[in-house]
Amino acid sequence: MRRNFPHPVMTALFLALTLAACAHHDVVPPVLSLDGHACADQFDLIGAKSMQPKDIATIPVDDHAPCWQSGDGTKSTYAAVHLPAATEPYLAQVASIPEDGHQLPPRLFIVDFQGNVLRQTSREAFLTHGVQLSASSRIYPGDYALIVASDPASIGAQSSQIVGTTRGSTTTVTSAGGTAAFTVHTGDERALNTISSYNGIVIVTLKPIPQSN
Amino acid sequence: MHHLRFAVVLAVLSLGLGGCVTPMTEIPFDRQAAPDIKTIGIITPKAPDDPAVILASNPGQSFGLVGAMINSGMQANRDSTFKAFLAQRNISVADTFLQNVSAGLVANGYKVTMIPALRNKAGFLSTYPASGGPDQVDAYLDLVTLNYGYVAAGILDKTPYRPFYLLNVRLVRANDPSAVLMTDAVFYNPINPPSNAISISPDPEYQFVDFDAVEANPDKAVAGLQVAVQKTAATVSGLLR
Repeated sequence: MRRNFPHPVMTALFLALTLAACAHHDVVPPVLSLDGHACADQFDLIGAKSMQPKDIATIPVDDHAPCWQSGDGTKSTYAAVHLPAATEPYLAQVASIPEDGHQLPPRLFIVDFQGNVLRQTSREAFLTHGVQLSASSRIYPGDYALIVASDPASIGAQSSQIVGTTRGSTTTVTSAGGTAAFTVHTGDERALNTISSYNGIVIVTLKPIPQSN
Repeated sequence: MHHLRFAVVLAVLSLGLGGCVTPMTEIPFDRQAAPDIKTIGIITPKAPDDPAVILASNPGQSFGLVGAMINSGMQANRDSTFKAFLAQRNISVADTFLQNVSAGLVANGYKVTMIPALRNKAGFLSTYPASGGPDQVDAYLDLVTLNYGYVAAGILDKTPYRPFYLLNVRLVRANDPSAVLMTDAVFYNPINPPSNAISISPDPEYQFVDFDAVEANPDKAVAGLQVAVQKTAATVSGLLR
């Protein structure tokens, strides 16, 4: 008999393989050198990602990310964001999150429409928040774009962060007397070891400046 | 009743260290945009009177109020022991912190004045001294220490006691305190570190497998807390660089 639909077993197998493929995670190795990369001496703002007020953008900085060579000859990968026009100052929060044991050491440049640097935030000003490196900057009317660039002086540096965590897991026990649930609280600690690399994941968040807390 | 009060305090502290502290939204200081801020008045900081030595997760939490009461008693013993260690060495954590913040601000080029204030509620001051007068300052620095002492994430050897220090900080313009120039949360060795507070990783030199080890090395334990205080203070002054 000819089947018009795939056999259920084949369908299940296909779905399982598909899900397995989705669940598979290719480890992204750290990029520790930009030798051989041709880098421009100005930021490319044409390819900048456009953001609107209150937007959150997750931007991978990988092998194909644009590359900038500064006046001293050092090279940096970077992500560019075209900022929305505004009449009032607002905040841009930039975070670099660890991925597969490496993390982009960020610097932040605010530039005008010609790519001239108006203000910058150094790598040292990016502090650990949770497991990410982040810093915020005030954005003023007239600021055109935001550049998150890797800090070449930090590439290859290793860091270790001690992170303590707690969790509660609920267990249900059933007996002749009925069912009881109780929560077991446990703690853990681990060292989060990362190496600074030219690649990584950057998250840019635009938000208004809170008036008071 | 006494134990019940301790149990409530313990529950609050555990929640705080468990990541349920809600830090304020970070506002960065833009020194270039505020060149008139030259003299900073440090308001009398808010801080707990005594250190806390906290087991952030423990078996007692699984046994309701009775377990909490037992743990509160154990924590009270640890707290008083560590408090005695500080007292025996004439160390005031609040003074050490204030001195370090002040020195850091001076190193950053600010003139620093201490502004006495009564603090009878938690959190930042709701009203600041009127500007002008002999203590003329350009901005007020409001420092609120949430808690400090030692904490272990759990009871196992792999979760040792380490020093911690949790702080909220705010800088407001003296002639218009509604203008928040900077605000942030600085947490040294937070358990379950939130992504909206600065997390300072603890110095691995100062770890104690259990509280017996703390008691056996009081000088080192006190030194570890002082490192926490110094690094937290340095981070605060760094935010105003």
